[in-house]
Amino acid sequence: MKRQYFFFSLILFFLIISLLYPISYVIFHSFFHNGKFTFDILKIVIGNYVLRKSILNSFLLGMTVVLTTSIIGIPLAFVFDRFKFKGKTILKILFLLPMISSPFVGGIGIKQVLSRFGSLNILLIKLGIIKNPISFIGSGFLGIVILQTLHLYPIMFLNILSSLNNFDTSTEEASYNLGAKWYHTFFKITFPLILPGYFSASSIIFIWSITDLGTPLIFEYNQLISVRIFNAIKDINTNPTGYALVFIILFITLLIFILTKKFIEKKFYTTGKTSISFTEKKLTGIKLFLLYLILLSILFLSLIPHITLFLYSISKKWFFSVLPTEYTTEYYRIVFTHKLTKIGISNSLLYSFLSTMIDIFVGFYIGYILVRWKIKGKSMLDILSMMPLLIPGIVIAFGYVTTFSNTILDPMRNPIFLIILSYSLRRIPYIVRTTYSSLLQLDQSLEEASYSLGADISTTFKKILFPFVSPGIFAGGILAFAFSLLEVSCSLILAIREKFYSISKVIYILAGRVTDGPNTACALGIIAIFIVGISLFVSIKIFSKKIGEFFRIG
Amino acid sequence: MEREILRVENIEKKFDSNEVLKNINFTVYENDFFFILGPSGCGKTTLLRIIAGFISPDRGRIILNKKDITNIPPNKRDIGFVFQNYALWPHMKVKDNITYGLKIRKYSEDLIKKKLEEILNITKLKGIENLYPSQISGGQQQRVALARALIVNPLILLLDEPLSNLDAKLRDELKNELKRIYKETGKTMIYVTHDQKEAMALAKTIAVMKNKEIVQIGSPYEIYTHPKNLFVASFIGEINVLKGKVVEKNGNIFKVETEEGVFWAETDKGINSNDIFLCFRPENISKEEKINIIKGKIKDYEFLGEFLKLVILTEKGNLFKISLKPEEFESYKKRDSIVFSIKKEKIMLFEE
Repeated sequence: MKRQYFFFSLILFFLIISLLYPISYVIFHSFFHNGKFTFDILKIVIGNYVLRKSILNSFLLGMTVVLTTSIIGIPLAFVFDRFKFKGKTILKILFLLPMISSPFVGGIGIKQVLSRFGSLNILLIKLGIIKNPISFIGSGFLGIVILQTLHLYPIMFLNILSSLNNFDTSTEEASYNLGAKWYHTFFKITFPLILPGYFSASSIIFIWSITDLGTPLIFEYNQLISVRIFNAIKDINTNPTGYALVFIILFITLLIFILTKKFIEKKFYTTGKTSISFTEKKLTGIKLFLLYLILLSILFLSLIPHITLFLYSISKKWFFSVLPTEYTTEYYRIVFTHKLTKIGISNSLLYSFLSTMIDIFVGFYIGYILVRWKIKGKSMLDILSMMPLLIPGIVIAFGYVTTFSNTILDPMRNPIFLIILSYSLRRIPYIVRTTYSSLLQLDQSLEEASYSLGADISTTFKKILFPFVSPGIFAGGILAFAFSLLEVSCSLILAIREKFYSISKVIYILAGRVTDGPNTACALGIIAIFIVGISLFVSIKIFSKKIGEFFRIG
Repeated sequence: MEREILRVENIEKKFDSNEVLKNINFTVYENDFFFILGPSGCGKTTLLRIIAGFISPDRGRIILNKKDITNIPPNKRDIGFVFQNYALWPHMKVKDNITYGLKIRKYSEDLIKKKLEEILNITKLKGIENLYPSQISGGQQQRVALARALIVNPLILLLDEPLSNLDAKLRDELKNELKRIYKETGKTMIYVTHDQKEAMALAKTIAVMKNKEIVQIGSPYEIYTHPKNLFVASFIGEINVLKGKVVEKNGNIFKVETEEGVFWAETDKGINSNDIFLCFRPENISKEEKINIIKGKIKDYEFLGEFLKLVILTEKGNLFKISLKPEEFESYKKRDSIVFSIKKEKIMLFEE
């Protein structure tokens, strides 16, 4: 048992140093200046026109993206829930694809399409629809909306789909039976009943959207709270507004989380037993054709960032034309020979691997403790281990930089430890969740049987527990690894010196270089997306339907 | 002649290549309490959902009140439906659940209030109208579902195994409630169930279904006393079965050879083949006659108050269930055996 407590303290230590301490440090510094409690810093932020505007812009962005993802995601979920058609499983996976890459990578591709002399404008001019090019991206806000929408709608789709799967369709039939039309039924019955799922998806999307750092940076759009925080880090010693901005983001995030929890927990929203589903309608003829047409168009649109990214990566010349005029594989060769890209790839692989190992170890133990131990403060551990799902990467990175500068862990000197810590912290909920749900199904007597036959704790863990939970852990681990590979905000903020750059940071730096930088950035992006895609596919194969659990609150 | 309300004509349905309903025909008259009774998987719920319009049939027509409604969507059919799981809307209060249909029909506030009051009285739900479905008991939920369907006064009410989610005691209680509500409202109802006791207790007409088809339609009495085949006979009530061979036939009188000896049966049913099942109900026994005698030892018994149920084991190893009044018991006893006989007109013959 002594060893158990040793592990327990280790886990606590991990959570304190990676989560509690930095967060508290930031909160403390948003209210204490020169050792005195004050609201001045918050007041300065609110009072400053530029900062206030950025906060409002972030809100606007989040709301817009929630709206646009709803418009795509909800009808899509209904189509997949209600109709039967060939290729449904494959299409479903394809619709999840946009989620795998960070939108900021796709941003490089989208810029090529939407810019003043990009593909779309050239195409429209050639078709004679417009005379002068239109500024689609404008300030960059629209570009961010488009990319975030295309990246985040699968979260809406998955959540609504799983709500619909648990939805008792006879409640709809009862409405029709009483004479209601479809829109009446939808707004009075169906929508209110899937509202918890909708609410939870919207919260995730909103939080994700306002804390996204990479996409605004690519579009050079500064009027957002996330970019303000990024910029505030540089002069944090002289200007404490960064703390207050992070505090505001934290506050919004937690508020939304609590509201969502409260809302979902309302008892009467649980529908009864689901009756046998007769609802999957088989489509034929013209209707089926139209369905495919619509689905494939959406799919094509959502993959445009990736498609253009790929085209960009193999284009030798792409200027004043709809598609590249000359192609080359040169940039893929560069990716594997260029000093910077080589650093990025090897660093990212190292960071992701080590952080995934920590995740598996710590996550498994937390999951185990949550299911098996009867100790006080367990619910606290539960909350703590799930918190990284909510706490935006930008907050964590900011916390690390400010908390640990001028200590032995100063990211200016060597950020490897902090980067790995941040990666592992952010993905730990995946492992906790999979372990937790696997262990819940494992009756304790199976372990007890092992003990009664003379096995000790470590043998029992190895022979009984681990084999049982390992598929889940494996799936969660792959997912953690894949997402770490393309992690953006912590990498951009923490990897300050070139030696420690990760893939994302290299892409960001390369995209900013004028000559052949963007092409190489695209090639690197494609390779990273490819790795992530394969990992996700394997993970879905193993964990199949439960994949949705990773993208839900509560 | 009563007025015809619903006619189901030649309904057929396949799910993918799986046939679920085959050539379904029946007519329901006004004020009938029409039961569709059959084991699970026989297609009865599908049939009910076709009538309600949730599924469309591959072939056939549904005529409601002389109007062909086969292609009319469920929200324009004027048919009430009570779901097996009630399908109450968990986000609405009881009263909002119940008045939903009236609001759809744009009734005035006053009328809605009046109708609600009325239906709450009929279904005895007064006092819980401001609660949510999750806050009331299963029996109450059931009655809310009933009230919700009844309040819009549909031409006909369909009930899909409405009592199957309740425990035994509640089920009995609600059975009586249903009967009362049926009598008070005079509504024509179609009720789907697999529980023959429910059907016997409530039905005016029963349609017995087996394997995609309707086997027999008739009053509970008809079906019990004159089942069309062995399936109906054994599905409704208890029955004793003996394999036999017809060796002589004289008008309505059949002479049948079985393991337990020769039996005489009288039936106006046309029997064509020689291999038959000879059956009788446990209660249709009489004291020793000259013919149709069975003798055996008591293997098991069950005392039900009014009745004594015995399981008799014969020397040949056949088991027979009989039921008799406790006070008659002694008269059937002969030393340590029971001897009884069956009147020839009480014997049923079914072809194999």
